[in-house]
Amino acid sequence: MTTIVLKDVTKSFKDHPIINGVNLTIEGNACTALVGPSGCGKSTLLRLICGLEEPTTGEIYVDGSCVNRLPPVARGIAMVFQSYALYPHMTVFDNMAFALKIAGCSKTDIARRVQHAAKTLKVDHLLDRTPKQLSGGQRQRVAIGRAIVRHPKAFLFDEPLSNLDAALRLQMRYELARLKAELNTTMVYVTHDQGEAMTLADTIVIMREGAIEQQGTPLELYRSPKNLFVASFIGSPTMNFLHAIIVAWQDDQHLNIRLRSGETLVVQVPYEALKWKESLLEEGSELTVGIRPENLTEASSRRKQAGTHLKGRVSLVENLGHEAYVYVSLPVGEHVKVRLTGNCNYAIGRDISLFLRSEDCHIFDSNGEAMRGLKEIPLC
Amino acid sequence: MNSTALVLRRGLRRLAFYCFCVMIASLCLFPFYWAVVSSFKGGTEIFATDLIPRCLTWQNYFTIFQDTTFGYAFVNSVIVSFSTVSIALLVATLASFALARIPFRGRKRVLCAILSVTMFPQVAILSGMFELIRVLDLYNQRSALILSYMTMTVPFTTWTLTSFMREVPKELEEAAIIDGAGSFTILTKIFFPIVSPALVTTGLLAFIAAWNEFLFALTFTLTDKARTVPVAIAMLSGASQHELPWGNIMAASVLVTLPLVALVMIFQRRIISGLTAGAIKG
Amino acid sequence: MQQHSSLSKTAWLFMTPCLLVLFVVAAWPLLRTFMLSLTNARLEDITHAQWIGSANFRDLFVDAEWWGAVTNTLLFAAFSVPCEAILGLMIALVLHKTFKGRGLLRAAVLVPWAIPTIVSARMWGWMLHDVYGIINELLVRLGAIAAPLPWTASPTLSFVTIVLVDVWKTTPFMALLLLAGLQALPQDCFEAALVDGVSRKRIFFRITMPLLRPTLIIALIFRTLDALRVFDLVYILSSGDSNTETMSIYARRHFVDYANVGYGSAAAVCLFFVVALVTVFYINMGRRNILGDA
Repeated sequence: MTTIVLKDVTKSFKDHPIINGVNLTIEGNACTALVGPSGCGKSTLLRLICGLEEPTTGEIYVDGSCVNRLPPVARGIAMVFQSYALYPHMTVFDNMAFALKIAGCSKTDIARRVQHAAKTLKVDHLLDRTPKQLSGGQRQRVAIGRAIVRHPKAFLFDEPLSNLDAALRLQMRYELARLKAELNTTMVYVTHDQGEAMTLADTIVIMREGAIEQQGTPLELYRSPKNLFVASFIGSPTMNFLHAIIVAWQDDQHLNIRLRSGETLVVQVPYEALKWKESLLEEGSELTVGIRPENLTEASSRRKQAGTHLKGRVSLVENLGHEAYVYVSLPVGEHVKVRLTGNCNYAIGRDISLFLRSEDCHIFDSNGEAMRGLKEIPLC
Repeated sequence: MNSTALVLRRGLRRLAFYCFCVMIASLCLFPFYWAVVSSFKGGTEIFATDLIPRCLTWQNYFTIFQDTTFGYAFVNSVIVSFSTVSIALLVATLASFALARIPFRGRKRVLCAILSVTMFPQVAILSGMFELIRVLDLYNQRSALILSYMTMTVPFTTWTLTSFMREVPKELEEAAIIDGAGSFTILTKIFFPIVSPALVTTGLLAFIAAWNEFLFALTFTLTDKARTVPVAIAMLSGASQHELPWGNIMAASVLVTLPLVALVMIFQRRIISGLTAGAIKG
Repeated sequence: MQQHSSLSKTAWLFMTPCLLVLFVVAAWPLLRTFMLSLTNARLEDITHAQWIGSANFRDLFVDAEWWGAVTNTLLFAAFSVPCEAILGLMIALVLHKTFKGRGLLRAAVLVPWAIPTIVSARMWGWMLHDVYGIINELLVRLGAIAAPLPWTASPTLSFVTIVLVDVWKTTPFMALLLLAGLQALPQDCFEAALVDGVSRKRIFFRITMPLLRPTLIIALIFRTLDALRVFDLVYILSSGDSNTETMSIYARRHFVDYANVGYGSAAAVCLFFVVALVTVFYINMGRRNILGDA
């Protein structure tokens, strides 16, 4: 049970800041995913944790003790590289045994630990091969095996699946999930693929420009993104955003807003909690309404539903068979994506009426900050 | 009609291309071929200019080995070249690892200094080196040559190996650091095996350079016992300047060149990669 | 920070042997040569010499033979290097194509480079022998020349011979450098141009040459510096002939044959500065090119 704590960590390369003051607690026996667009500093953060880089300021604690001055090996942390970084001149066995040999383990101990790790990863029949003779998936397993044999306090993964093709990536994702359950240690996982993070991680940390935007469980991030950036990063296809303005406060819980297309809707917003940024809550202030593609439905012509309807025209259909992503252009120049299941026969150019419920709407103020989460509201 | 003309034209162009290739190859190889042919001609036969010799004789080869001069020179060349290459590689491997993989202050300056040493003319250090050799009492000894050959081989091998070492992916080094390896272990257990083909290449190039060196060998040796092959060949002479023993010279030339030509044929690709590794990124 | 300083300590530790060797065999001798050039040192007893200031250089600059050597060296470089560049480029272009026997041709091209300079000088010396040389014989038989030519004896002709042999010996090096440069060029550029219907000639002058320029400049630097310090080829092909004497030979002649270490060192120092000057010139040219392209 190893906790990793980062306290006010910054890192700059030649006056070029990469990490701008990160405070983060990585819980033990859980998988934490660091996600963000490329260049957001997530890999640098990982390298700071394992000791390949030193923080410019701030401290890193592993199990309560500061490891800033410790070399990587003394931190007891193992890392799996994106390119696997297998030693090309060594056999699989030697690759996995290298760290143990350096640590001075006995031969029998090394053999036992390597065998055990190889069995766990189902590469025990490949021990005599060299990395060149392995497939991508096998290399990946060996790279993980090299980390496992050391019995580290924590595993760090730097985009471990990005070098695999799509089919293999799904399989390895499943394997990693299994491994995670089996090993039951602290894992930190860097990826730019939100889907990977959603399926593997217990906690997701979203980063942008060297700072943490939001940290939480996958569902928390999905339901209550703190701001527009997180909202647009989590979920696939990405959330739709519509412009709106405040019409009036109905009471201290309900807000009347009007979309650009003219429709009005009443959304639940706790006024008291937001009182401090009063200026953004005045009548006429701009808002952004976020609605996920899966929360939009085609309005039934037969029965009248209570809620807001958006009228538009189908501009593009991505048909996946079991479902379709329909791109709808609204008359005011905005576009929305809709995820529709069932009969997916939508002709391009056809008029369509979409139905949205106000409780599914994410509301962001003009600074892009969320005004409420969806957590409080029961999902159907 | 049109298509046959096209085919004909293409064929002609191809023929011209192959003729050009054959021309290049024969221009490159003919002098060596002629040396081989001449070396097998005895007596006055050598003055005949037939492209294919009528009768072959080993006489020239016997002659150069009857005299101990050439044998000594050959042994000297082998010893000097091998020692030079081993020392240079040892020193250069250590240095190039640091230069290629460890970021430290002054790295660029050290690289510049090393490159400039490969470029300056050997004559410029001739008198300083001569004095050094005299002071160390190495004059007319093989060690004098090994010492002076360091001037060219050490900077060259360091420079070339540095560019080879740079190509090793950074992740391998980092994986080793995480596995707990120190700098020396990383060098010996990870880098050394990975760049060993490059070591062979670089060593080969350094060997050829040492084997062919002339100025230092000429200046720092005096007697047959210390001379290397190039000097021995330069010194082979007959009764007068105009009566050089061409048959013997050609036989010696062939013997000296044969190992190099063999190396070139076997390690063709590697030599090219080595020649260019140092230069392209310079 | 602690890790960092210990890493740089390791780096210097690793470099110590190399730097030590370079100091002993390069920096120190060079420094001593500079110092000796200001003395009247004799070969018999170098260490006991008297300081005579710039007298050696004053003598050197009024010596017609020295200026002859300077001219010879510069002419040699000016003739041989461009020839090698053009021929090298041609061979590189041939080797850049894929055809049957390319490996063989590449190996053949490497042979002149591998042959020791001394040996190639001897081989050509024999082939160009004025009486028995095969080249004279062939040329006469073909009717190209009326009578055998004294290739290594006549002053102008022996200069031509030296350039010729040097071109033969070092063009392969040039060709291989340029070939590597060609192979490193982005292939899609050429494919795009071909698809766009650009003629091959245009592709060569508008795409290949500009892209190859950095490699060409590096190859030219290497070769020019080599040509300026040329010694063994000239020494063998025309030893003792002041008409073709180069700076290296001049310096060594005074140093060894006349035992005048001080004077020989002065000549060597001058050669050193010429080489340094050319290097600076080329580097500046390269920089301007880079700026121009950007």
